[in-house]
Parts: sequence; structure tokens; C-alpha cells
Amino acid sequence: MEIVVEVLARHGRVRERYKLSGADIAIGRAYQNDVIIGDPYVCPLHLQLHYNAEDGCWRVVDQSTQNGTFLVGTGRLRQPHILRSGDEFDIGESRIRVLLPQHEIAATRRLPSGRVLADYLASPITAVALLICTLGLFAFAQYLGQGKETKLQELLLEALMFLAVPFVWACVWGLIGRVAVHEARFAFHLSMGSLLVVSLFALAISAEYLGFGFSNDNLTLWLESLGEGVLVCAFLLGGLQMATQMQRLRRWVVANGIAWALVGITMLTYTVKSDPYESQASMSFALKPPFARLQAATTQDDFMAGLGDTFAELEQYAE
Amino acid sequence: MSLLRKLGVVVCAILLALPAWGRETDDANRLYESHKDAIYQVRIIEKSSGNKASIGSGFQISASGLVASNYHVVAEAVKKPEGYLIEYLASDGSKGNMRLLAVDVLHDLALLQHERTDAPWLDIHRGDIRKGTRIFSLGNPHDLGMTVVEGTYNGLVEHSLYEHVLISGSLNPGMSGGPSIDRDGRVVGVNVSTAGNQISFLVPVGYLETLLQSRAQDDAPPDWNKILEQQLLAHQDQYISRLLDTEWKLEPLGEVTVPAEIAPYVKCWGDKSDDKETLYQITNRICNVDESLFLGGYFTTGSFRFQYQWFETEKLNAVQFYSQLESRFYLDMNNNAYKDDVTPYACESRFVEVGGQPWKVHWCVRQYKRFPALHDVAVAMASLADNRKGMLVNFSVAGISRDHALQLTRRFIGAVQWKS
Repeated sequence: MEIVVEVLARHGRVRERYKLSGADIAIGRAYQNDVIIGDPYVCPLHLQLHYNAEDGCWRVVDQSTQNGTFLVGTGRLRQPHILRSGDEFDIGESRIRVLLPQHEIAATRRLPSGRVLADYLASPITAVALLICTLGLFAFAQYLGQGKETKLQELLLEALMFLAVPFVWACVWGLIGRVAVHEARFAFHLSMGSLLVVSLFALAISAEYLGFGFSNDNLTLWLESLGEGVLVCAFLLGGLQMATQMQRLRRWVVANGIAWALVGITMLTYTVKSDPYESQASMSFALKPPFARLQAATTQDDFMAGLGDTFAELEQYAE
Repeated sequence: MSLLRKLGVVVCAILLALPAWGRETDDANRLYESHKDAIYQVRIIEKSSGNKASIGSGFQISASGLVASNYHVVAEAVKKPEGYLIEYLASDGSKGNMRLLAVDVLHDLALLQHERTDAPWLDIHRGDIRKGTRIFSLGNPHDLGMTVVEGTYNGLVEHSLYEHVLISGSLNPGMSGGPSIDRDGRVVGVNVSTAGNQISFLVPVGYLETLLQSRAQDDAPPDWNKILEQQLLAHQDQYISRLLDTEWKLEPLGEVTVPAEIAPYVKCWGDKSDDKETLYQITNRICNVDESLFLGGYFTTGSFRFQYQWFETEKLNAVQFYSQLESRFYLDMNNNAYKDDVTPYACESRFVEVGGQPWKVHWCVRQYKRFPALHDVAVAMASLADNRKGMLVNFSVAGISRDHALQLTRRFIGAVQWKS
């Protein structure tokens, strides 16, 4: 008779899988066992699987062990337990799962046609290309801020510091991945880091332009905060998926939690610390080229009519 | 000519000169000796520590113990009467308290009263004083002791918003509030400020007489905030109305016509950037009233300023060009008044069509806490008419009523015209 024994790691991942034949299968720490488990809390002979040809059932028998055998979801085995395919047992600090060969499996998944995005991002060529694009983009942004003749080298040098972000990002996730899934996937995280810094930059610029275009500073603030939350959350999700074995729900909770906590803390410090006198000590304004104006210019009369409300705002400071 | 005769001429010249020189020195000496008892050091004492918070000078002008000084000497005590005492120190070393009777914040005068009896006083000079008249300023500079400084009376400062007498002589901090007297010992002005290099200013003595006559006779402690507010309000009412009624002198800067020296007391200055490295040029013009009213600490008012910066480029693209303008697009603060004195700014920001072209306008206003009828207004404007030409305008006015703030804004913005 055949039977499958899986030794599970944390989070349910299968660490070892054995397909065994015979009517008696021994599981324990000693080397004479069919399945050897290197866990000091497991007895030398811990568990016996026995096939009864009469009723066609496997029985799981705890060998009167010191620490016992626990059927997950039920409790300690006091007597032979008639096995159902897929039962999981805790022995010592380890968990095993026992399956019959006819155990149902999930339907075959269709291979994605072509490579998925993640595969592209994981390619070192993509990572390098994205880094170069990031460098180029920031150099261009520097160029647009220049009022004098500048050499390309100077622009590149100034843009170079922005590349620290993808590298730090990749190092952190690589470390997490190395610990959690034994794989750093540095190139993937480097690509993600480049994309993150570029999208944050694009967000900041568009928020600034929209705020200017609609003459609304609050719009800039809100767009930026919301956008940052969404972006950070999305990139955290990607990182978590690649670098950990977390379940989907948990991943969502963690990514959203971290992202919005960051946004919340930033907003909180902004509102708590914002002393109007301090922030007005040098009040500077956004100014963009004429094409960025997204609103019609009002007439002077309309503008003057609105100033009454501005006076009314002063009443909040009355003592 | 023989050597002897030459020598004789020189000796005669010296002999002739000596009496004159000696007479002047005698004047200073005689005036100081005969009037020093009418001069006081005015000290503002912080009540809880009992120490001097500031010092100035003052002088007695009547038998009844009225003492004249500057408003700025007693400003702290006006702002927080419960926290400060006003004390005098007489030339004989005696001390005593003084009571504030009246202030004129526009001309920087204060009237105090002490309880001393039999103290001498100074007479006030009535009538015109000729330019070049020799005068003697008395006071206690830097708390170093009573001094006398000779100077020359040069008449009223030309083209000014606030009337001051210009003298050639060195007034120093601490002499504020002291008298400047002529050879007969009559007061011709009250020491008020200096611009260094022997250029100093007096308050014309006529305003002291006005203050004397207008002071309230009752003994009830006056509400100084109310009084100052009324004085400031009346003043801005007068000069802003006049400003609004006159034709403004407009001058081109780049392709924009802007208000320039719109009143005799407004002075405009200009320059042009000639940095070879930058790929754009800036032409600057700043027009301002180089005078203001002191209210206390960093809080000044009663003044205005406008600044224009014309930008032009041939080589920069629109994004680059406007990023250069952006770095200079901020609100020009008229003064450094802080929490105690003013509210934060409230602002309105819009695209406004000015002279047929779109401009980005930030209009900000703040209110004076002790004088709620008065405001500071600051405006920052940027043209959005051209990708390679642009102007930044800053305009700020301090100590203005709501109505005048609106009228002046309308007039000012309306006067800015992009030449088409």
C-alpha cells in the first residue's frame, strides 16, 4: 500500500514530501524510521501508520510518547485514529500531513501566455534598464529646474542620489526574502524600487501642477497624501508577495496598515506642528508655465468680490 | 610780504577765531548747566523683576510737572500697563514714578506727569526757525550719563510721509525723548531717531503743543489701544484717501506698465541682473515709503512697498523659465510682527485677468490684534502671458482699514497693464 507523508514548515509550506509503500510506516527521530524528523521534541519512534487490509483503512497510532501526538483540530490521540486523507498531526514542534494517493488535487492552472510582469521585473536586464531610466528621468528633472548652462555630468551627478532609494528598497526586501523564503530576488526588488521612486516623483509633480492649475493648495496636499498611500501600499504588496509566504488577506492587511499608518503619521505631524506663524514666515507659492493653468482667469470684479470671505477668515483668530 | 607780516595775519586769524569758538563751547556748557535739571532719564521698569526694560530721555515743559518724551520710549508700558512702571531719574539722582497722560503715535510723542515740585522746565520755541541755526541736543545716550550734543537745524525733511526735522548732529540710543534747544534754551524739537553719520531727526515741536492742548483732562485711566487705533485709523484714512484720489505715475518695466512714484514720499530704485552664467535677465524696481510708525518690538506700520521683477529669456524653455520665477515667487512681508501683535495671514489665490492677460494673484491679509480695525495686506502676482517673458509683482501695505485695503488693491491691480 502507498501513502504520502508531508513534513510542513511554518505557514503550511511543504518542506519534505515522502511517498512510502508497505503496511507499516514508522515516523520518529531515530534513523530506523521511514520518515525521520529532526526535532528534539519528537520521540525516537513517535508514530506508527498501520494499514489494515480487512477494512482497507490506515490507522495512526501514537507510540505512547512523552509529548504526544495531536490531530490538528481535535486533540491528543489517546487511541488509534482512523486516518482520513489530509489529516494533519502535530508531533513535538513539527507538523506532518498524511495523504492517500487518491487524494484530490486542485485543477491544473493554465500557464500565463507569455511571462508575467513579475518575471520581467525579476530580470537583471530590466532592473538595470529601469535604473538607467530613473537616472535619466531625474537628470531631466534637474535640467528643467536649471536657469543656467549646465553640463550633463553635473545633472547626472545630482540625479545619482535618487538611485539610493531603489538600492535601499532592494536591500531591505532582499534581506526579508532571504530570511522568509530563502531567496533574495534582488533584481526584482531593484526594479520595484526604481518604479516606486519614479512614481512618487511623478505623483508629486502632477499634484503640484494640478494644485496650481486649479488654484487649490489643499488639492495638492490631498492628492499627494492619497496617492502616496496607494503607491506605497501597492509596492509593499508586491514586495510582500515576492519576499514572504504570507497569505493574501494578511498581505493586504499588512501592506495597507503600513502604508496608511505612514500617511497618517505624516498628516498628523503636518497638522499638529503647523503653526500658521511659522509656516508663513516665508510664504512661497507654486508657479508653473501658462499651459498649466486649468481654470479660466476671473475678472477683477469677481476676484475683489471674493476678498470679503478672506476677511471673514480672520475672525477665527479673534480672541 | 615778510615772514613777520605773514605770521601776524595767521595770529590775527586765530585770535579772531578763538572768541567764536569759545562762545559756542560756553553756550553748550551754559545751556547744559542751566537746563540739566529739567531733563530726566525715563526708565521703563519691568514690575516683577524690578529692572529696567528700556530707557530714554524726557524733559519738563510746565511748572505742573508735565514731561515730554517719545512714544517709542514708553511703548512697552502702553502695551502692557499692568506689567511696567514708568520711572524718572533726575539730574540730582532722585527717582520717582511717572504717569502717562497722552501719546501721539504718529509723531512719536508721549506726555508724562511726575509729582515733583519746584522742578525747572523748558520753554517751547514758537515761530519759524531758520535753517543753519545752531542747536543743542540733550539726553542720556546708552545710559552713560547726561550729555549735550551740538548740531545744526536743517528744516523739515523733504518729501516725507511723516514730518521730521533734519539735524546735522549725532543722536544716540537713549537720547530719544530728550529736547533739542536753541541758544536761548527754548525747545525746537524732540530727539527721535538717527540715520548715522551725523544725520538725525527731531519731532517738530509744534506737535508737542498740539498734544498738550488735546490731552484729556479727566483722571480716568485711558484705553490706550483705543486711542492708538483711532490715531492710526485717522492717519491711514487721510493719506490713503489722498493716494486714491491722485493720478498715479505709471512707468513701463519690460512689457508691463506699473505704478511707480505715486506720491512724493514714494521712492523707487532699480537694478538689472548682469550674471553672465544665468540664461535669463531680471530687471528690478522697488518702490517704497522709507518711513514707518513704530508700535513696539518688531511691529511697525503705516508704510507700503511695491516691487517688480521683470524676467526675460531667449534660451530657457517654459518649464525652466517658470521654475526660475517660482523660486522668487513669495509673499513680501512688510514687517516682522509676530503672534502678540497680528493674526496669521488669510489668503485668496486665483487666476485673475489683469489688463487682458492672465495673472496668478495671491492676496493675503492679517489683522492687528490690539487694533482690530487695522490690517496688513500683502499681494504677490505673477504674469502668465508669455512662455519667455514674465513679471513678478509684490505689493504690501501696513496699517490699513478694510475699505481702504480693498480700494487700494483694486486700484493697484488695475494699474498693472501688459502692453499688447
